[in-house]
Amino acid sequence: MIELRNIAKYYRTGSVNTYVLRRITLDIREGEFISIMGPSGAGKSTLLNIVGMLDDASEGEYSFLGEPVHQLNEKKRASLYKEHMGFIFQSYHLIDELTVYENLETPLLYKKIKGSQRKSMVCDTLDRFQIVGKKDLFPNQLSGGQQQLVGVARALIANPKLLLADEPTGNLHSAQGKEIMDLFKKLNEEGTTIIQATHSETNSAYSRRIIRLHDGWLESDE
Amino acid sequence: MLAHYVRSALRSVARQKGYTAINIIGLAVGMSVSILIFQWVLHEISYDTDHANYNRTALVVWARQLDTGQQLVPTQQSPLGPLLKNNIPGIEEYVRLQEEVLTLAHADESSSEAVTLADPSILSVFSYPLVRGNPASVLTEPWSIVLTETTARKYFGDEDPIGQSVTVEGQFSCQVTGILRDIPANTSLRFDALVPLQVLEEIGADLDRWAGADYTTWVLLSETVSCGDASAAVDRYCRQLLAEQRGQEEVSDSFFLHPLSRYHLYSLAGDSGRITYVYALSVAAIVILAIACLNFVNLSTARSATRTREIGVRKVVGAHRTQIARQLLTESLLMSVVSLALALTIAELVLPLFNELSGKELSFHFFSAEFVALALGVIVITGVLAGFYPALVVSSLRPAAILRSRSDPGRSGLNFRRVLTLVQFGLSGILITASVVIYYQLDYMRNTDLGYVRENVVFLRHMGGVQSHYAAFKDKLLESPGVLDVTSSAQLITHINSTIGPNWDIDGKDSDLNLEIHFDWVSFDYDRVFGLEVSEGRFYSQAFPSDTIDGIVLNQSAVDMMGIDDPIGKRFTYWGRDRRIIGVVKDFHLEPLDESLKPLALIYRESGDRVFIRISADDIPSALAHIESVHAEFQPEGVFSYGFLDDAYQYEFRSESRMGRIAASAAVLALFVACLGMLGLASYSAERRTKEIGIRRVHGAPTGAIVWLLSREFLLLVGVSCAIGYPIAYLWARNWLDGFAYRADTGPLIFVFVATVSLVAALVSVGYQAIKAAHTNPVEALKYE
Repeated sequence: MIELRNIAKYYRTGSVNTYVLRRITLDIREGEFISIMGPSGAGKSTLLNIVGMLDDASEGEYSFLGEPVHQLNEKKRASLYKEHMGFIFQSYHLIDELTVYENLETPLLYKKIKGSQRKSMVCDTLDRFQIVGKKDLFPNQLSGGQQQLVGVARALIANPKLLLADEPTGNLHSAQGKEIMDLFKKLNEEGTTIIQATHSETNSAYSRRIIRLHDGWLESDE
Repeated sequence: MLAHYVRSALRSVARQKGYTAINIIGLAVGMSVSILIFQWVLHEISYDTDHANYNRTALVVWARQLDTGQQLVPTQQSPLGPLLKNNIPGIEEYVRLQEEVLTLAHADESSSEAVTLADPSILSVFSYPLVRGNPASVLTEPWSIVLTETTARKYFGDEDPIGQSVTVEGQFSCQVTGILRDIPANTSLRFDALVPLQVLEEIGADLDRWAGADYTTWVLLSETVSCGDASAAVDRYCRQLLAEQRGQEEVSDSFFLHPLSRYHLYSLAGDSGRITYVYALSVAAIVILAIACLNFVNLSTARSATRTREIGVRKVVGAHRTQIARQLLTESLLMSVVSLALALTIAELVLPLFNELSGKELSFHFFSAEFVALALGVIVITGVLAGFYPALVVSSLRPAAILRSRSDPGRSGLNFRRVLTLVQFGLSGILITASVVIYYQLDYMRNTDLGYVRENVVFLRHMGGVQSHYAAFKDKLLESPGVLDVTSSAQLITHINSTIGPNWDIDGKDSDLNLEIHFDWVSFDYDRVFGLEVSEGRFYSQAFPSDTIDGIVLNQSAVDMMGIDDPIGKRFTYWGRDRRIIGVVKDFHLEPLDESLKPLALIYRESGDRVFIRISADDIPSALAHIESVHAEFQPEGVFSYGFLDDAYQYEFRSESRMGRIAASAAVLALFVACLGMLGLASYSAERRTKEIGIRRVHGAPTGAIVWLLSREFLLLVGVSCAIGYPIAYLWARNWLDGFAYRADTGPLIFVFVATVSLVAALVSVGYQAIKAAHTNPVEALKYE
């Protein structure tokens, strides 16, 4: 599903390049559940962003479902992303101005899904995540765990093949974190490919493959 | 999708009330100013377009070449009109006009009205629709009068005016033959009543005689001829005529046609006139609208910095760039629609004020095609312009960069915003400088010493029967201690434009001298009423009875230009009458805005059409009461109508002073809008730098230092914008002032003034934010980090 070849990412500071990622080569098949681990600054988020097409690699080749992402223009890339990926953040990143219902609806709007179908998809998702009662609330009226639940629901509403999660439980209590991780496990069993970046050994125990990064280098892949 | 955009827009607008208020108010003020000014401009350029023959009507102008310069005369001698019609093929019709202010009376009602004496063709050349009466016949009988609806109602109320009689000047009786529809405000030739020109023949004038050039002569051109060709034909014909009359081979004078379509906006010389105001105000309106738009753009980009997270999230959930851009454009269009609604409300509310300021009676027609087009244009232009940049910049950001929360997105577009602020303050600085220059110049012109005293001089508008009892009237007036001196003359001293013509002579006259000597009929004490200084000899004096029989008083320029040495007692002959010079008065200006000094003869006559009374400044009301009671005694039926000479003089500058006031208001509003923008930017700057301020506070920075930290950038910007704006304003001002004979001195003090005003305004708008930020508890500021 995902093939990374010699991916590198650096920022220019003055005349030197500061590397965040160095020569990462990685293959990910459909249905995997992967944790990317490593200390702060190891490049976990950057790798996740590159895979999620939120950021460009400075060097290297990346193909997703056989498409050479590094060669695609923005429009193609955006539609590839829109079609197949969902993203979850540590700080939830819900849109403050929109209600739970509207937050869930937004990705469908951007996919230009018709009104009636959109409505049924949102309702199904609300049901599935048991947040029907919260649908008219705004994000700041929810607890962190509830917000992240909405975040996950939003990422999954369009049935993506790949779910990317950047420290999904970082801001949650352990009980809330466990709920999210159980949910991930269930989703993975249903066939969704999941890649999460995490500090937590507890969380990584849910995954079947762990990739460790250190100072931008791929340290181990087990 | 659109519903979603609008919903998000409304929510985000509601979330940031302060920002929204600043943005909408700024734009609304800018829009309302430009709406008002454009209404004014539309009104100005619509002048005379109601006339069906708008494009074919022109005024005959005589360009006289005098030794003292060219003089453009818009009036002609009476036989010229018919001759032009009969001899020039392109001219279909002519109409001669004489505009008068006469006293009309009927039953108990009596007041002065603008009465135009005109050939009957006025109703076919111009379009003055009749409500009653037949245009072909209403002006054929000499003693007929045509009233406008308003005038008719004033004198006759609900009665039928047709066939009734109106008394003119208390002497003549005219029969009402027709009623005109009221003349729209955007018409140059306006009047309350029309009387046939023929009536002049009834009271002794001979319209076939070549006498004084007193008749405004308009011609109607045939559809096939261009105004330029007709003008050339008129020039050829009139020059030939003039040469024959003068018995000369060739004359240096020329003639031309001034089209009705240019009559209101352009001076006869063609290079100036109200058109300059139309341009200037249009520019001011566009500049203010531009400032308001820049504000909007500025604040939107500043705010978009705080919204980048939302945009990032939207991208993450699948929004394409164009979708983001569309959302932001929807927002700015929505804001500009709201602003327009507010602007219309403001414009409607301040319209009476604006009308007073501009001396117009504008009203809005909200549903006229032009207005809707204008409004839509304004919305789209401002909405798109204001929304475009933020939409472009913000939508292009990469989500990963935005969502990495440590970065400071507020810095993006910082330089762009600085440039916009610079431009805003530069523009408002230019407007302020311009209005200050206009103010100075007006003030200077109004107070220029023209060589006579204007203050505390009262003149009576209508002599009526007083003229025949002038001496007794004068003695009676002088009985009050409040009345200092009384004189009479034919013209207002502010406008002496009658000339003696070529028919004058002195001993040893230089035969090449083509000197146009102005004159006025004046009575005793003319020098005292107007404070004229007699430099040689004496003014007309009752102590020397011969003065009034064979004496003459000239001004210094007349004596100098004619080359008379030692003038007292020398001969001066005009119109075949021999006089000897008894006195020379110091020069004064014969026209308010004419810097040249012209030769003048003050010729004695016991009384002229006007009485001038110098009153004591100590008790003006009682002096006026005395004058009124004396007037009533001599003129029981007459209307007592008086004016102050200085007011009449100031009235000359009404369009300039209106311009000045409009420009000043526009400048103040421009500065207001710019300051509003600065207030918004300052609050963002404070917000963006909360952490920095917190850290500085923790390390012991005093309040003053924080305030300075936040203000200095803005003050620097304003300083730089003044430095850039001033030279531009200076160049404009020099150019503008070049058009005036008397120029106010516009030194660097104006720059200092404008810079100070701008800086103080900026400081006030930034200072509050800065002080607030400086007083925030540092722990509060750092808590979120």
